[in-house]
Amino acid sequence: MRLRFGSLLSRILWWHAIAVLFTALAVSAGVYLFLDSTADRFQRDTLRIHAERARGALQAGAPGTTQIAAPNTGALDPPRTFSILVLDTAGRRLSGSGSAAAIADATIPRRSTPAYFVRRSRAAIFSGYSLPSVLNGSRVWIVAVQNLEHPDYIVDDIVKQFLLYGLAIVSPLLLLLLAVDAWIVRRALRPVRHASELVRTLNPQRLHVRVPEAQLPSEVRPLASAVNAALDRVVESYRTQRDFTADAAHELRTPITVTRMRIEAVEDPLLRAELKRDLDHLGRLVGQLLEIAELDGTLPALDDVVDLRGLAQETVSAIAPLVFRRGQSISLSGTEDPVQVRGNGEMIARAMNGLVENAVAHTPEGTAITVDVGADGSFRVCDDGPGIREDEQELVFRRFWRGDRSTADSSGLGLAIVSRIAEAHGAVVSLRSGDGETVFSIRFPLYAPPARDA
Amino acid sequence: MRLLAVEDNPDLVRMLGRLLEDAGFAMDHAGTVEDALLVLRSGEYAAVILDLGLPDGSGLSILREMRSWGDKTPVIALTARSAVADRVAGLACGADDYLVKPFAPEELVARLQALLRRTGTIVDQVIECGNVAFNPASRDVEIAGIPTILSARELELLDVLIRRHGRVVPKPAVEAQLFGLDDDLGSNAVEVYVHRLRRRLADAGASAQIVTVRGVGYMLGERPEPRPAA
Repeated sequence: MRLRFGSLLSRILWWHAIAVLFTALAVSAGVYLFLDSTADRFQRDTLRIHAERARGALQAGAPGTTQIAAPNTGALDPPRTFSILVLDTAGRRLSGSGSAAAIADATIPRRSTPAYFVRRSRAAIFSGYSLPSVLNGSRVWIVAVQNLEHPDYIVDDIVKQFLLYGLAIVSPLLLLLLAVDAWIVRRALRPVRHASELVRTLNPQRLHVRVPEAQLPSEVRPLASAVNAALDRVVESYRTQRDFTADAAHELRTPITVTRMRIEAVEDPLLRAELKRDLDHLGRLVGQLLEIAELDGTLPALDDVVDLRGLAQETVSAIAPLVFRRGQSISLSGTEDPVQVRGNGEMIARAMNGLVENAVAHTPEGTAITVDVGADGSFRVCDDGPGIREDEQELVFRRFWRGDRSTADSSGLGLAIVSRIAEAHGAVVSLRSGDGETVFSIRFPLYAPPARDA
Repeated sequence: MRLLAVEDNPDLVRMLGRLLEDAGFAMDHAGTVEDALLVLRSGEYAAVILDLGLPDGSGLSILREMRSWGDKTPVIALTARSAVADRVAGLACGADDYLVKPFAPEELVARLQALLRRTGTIVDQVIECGNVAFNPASRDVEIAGIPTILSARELELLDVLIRRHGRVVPKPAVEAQLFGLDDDLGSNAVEVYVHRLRRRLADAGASAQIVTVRGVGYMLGERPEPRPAA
C-alpha cells in the first residue's frame, strides 16, 4: 500500500515521526550497548584485580604446604558479591570464600592462561576469572567469582532502567517536536496562504494583481513566478483583444457613417427613409456587438463612485428626443438627491440606456416610460405598455433573443448587455410584468464613504 | 464660413465636404495630426470637426496642442468609440461637443450650428423649429409665417428652448434664463410660463411643441408624425 499525503504538513509529520523514533531507538540501543560493555569491562577488571590480589596473598602465605587454609587476609576477603576459590590441577577446591558454593568446581576452566567465564545455575549467574598460579611448586588456579544476581550488584538494573526512562522521556519529546513541526510549517506556509487568497480574488476586472514573490518561501517562488508570468500573458491577450475591438469599432463605424451620408443623396424619399432605418439598425447592431465583445473581454475598473441620479438624468435627456419622436413620453422620478454607487460609470450608463431603449423599442405609441432612481441604489425602468408574457420573461436576457422576430429595430442584444453589466457589478436585472406595468430594475451596490475621524 | 475637418477616411472627408457645403459652409481637411497642426497654425477656422482616431496619433493631442497655444476655435470631436471615458477625456481636453460614429448627418449640422451660435459666430441667423422661427438678434417670432408677439418671459423661454431645440434643456438652465440667479421664484414658476408658451404655440398653429421630461427639463421639438406602419 502506498501512502498518500494530502498536505506537506502530514508528509513532514509522518517522516519526522519515523526519523525521531528511529533515532531514539538507535541512540538508546547505542547507549545500552556502551553501558553494557563498559559495565562488563569494569566487572572483569574488578575480578582480575581480586584474583591477582589473592594470588599475591597466597604466595606470601605458607610456602611448602599443599593444603592451605583459607587465608585470612584482606585480599582474600573481598566484598560480599565476590568469592575467591583456589583449585588444584584435579579441580578440587583448596580454599573458598563467599557465596560461590553453588558453582560446580569442575566446570571452572583451568587453562595455562587467565580466562574469564560465566556460569549459570538455577539460583544465580556467576561471572569469574580463573588465574593460573603456582603454589608450593604445584599448579593451582585462583578464581575470582562474582554473583551477578546478588542485590548489591546493580549495574544491569541501571541499564534496564535507563531504557525505561529513555522511552518515557523520548515520547513526550517526540510529541513536542511534532507540534513544533506543525507550527513551523504553518508559519512557513502563511505567505502561501495569503498568496492563494490574493489569486482567488482575480477576475477579468482584477488582473493587475501579482503574487508577491519576495515574501514567499523559495520553494514556492518558482510556482508564484510562473503564475505571475501566466497572468502577464493573460493581460497581454486581453489587451490584444481590447485593442482589436477598438480598431474594429473604428473600422466598422466609419464606413457606416459614410454610407449614412451617401443615403442623403437618394432621391426617392421612401427608399431613403428605409435605407436610413436599415443602416441605423446596422449601426446599432455593430455598436452592441462591440459592446458585448468588450464586456466579454476585459472589464474596466468597477470601483468608481458614480452618481446614479446624475447618470439617469443624462440618460433620459439623451433619449428623450427619440422617445417623443416615437410618440411616447418619458419622465424621471424617485429621489432628487445624488445616489452614490460603486461601479463603472460608463457601464452603468450603458445599462441604463439599454433598459430605456428596450422600453422605447418594444412599446407602442402613447406609452409612458418612467425612469426611477431609488436612494438604495436601485434603478428602474417602468412602462405601461402591453407587457411581456410570463413564459418569455426568462428568455429576454438571452443574446439575440427577440420576442417578435420581425421587429427590425431590435438586435436582441440590448438586454443581454444590460444583464452582463449588472452581473459584473454583482447585481441582477429583475423583471416584473403584469397588471399593465412592466418594470426592469437593477440595484447597484451603494457607495459607503470611508468613516473619517473628526 | 470655413471649417476644418480632421479625418483620415477619404470617403468620409468627401461626404463631409458635400454635407457641409449643402449647409452653407466651406471645408478644408487634414488627414493626420501633423497636417492638422500645420493647417491650424496658419488658417482661421470657424470650427473644427476632429476625428479622435487618426493614423499618426489621437485627435486629443491636436486638441490639447490647440488649446495650449490659446486657440479657442470650437471643436466637435468625432469618435468611433462610444466609451464615455473617451468623451470625458475629449471634453476635458477642450472639445465643445462630441459625436459618436455612426451619426446622422443632420445631427452633425445641427450640432455645428448650435455650437457656432453659442460661440457667437452665427448671430443673425433665424432659428427654426418646425414652423416656429425665432431671430435671436431682433427677437422676432414667426409662427406659420405670421409674426407673433410674446411676453418678455415667454420670449426668454422660447429663446432658451429653441436654441437647443430637439434636445432636453435641464430645468435649472431654464430657470436661470427666465429669472436670473437672484430672483426668488416659486416652486412652479417655470411650469406656469411653460404652460403659457405651450398654449400660445398651440393657439398659433405651431408644428413644434414643448414637451416636459418630468424630473429633467423641457424640450422644444416638432410634433411627431404618425408612425409609419412597419
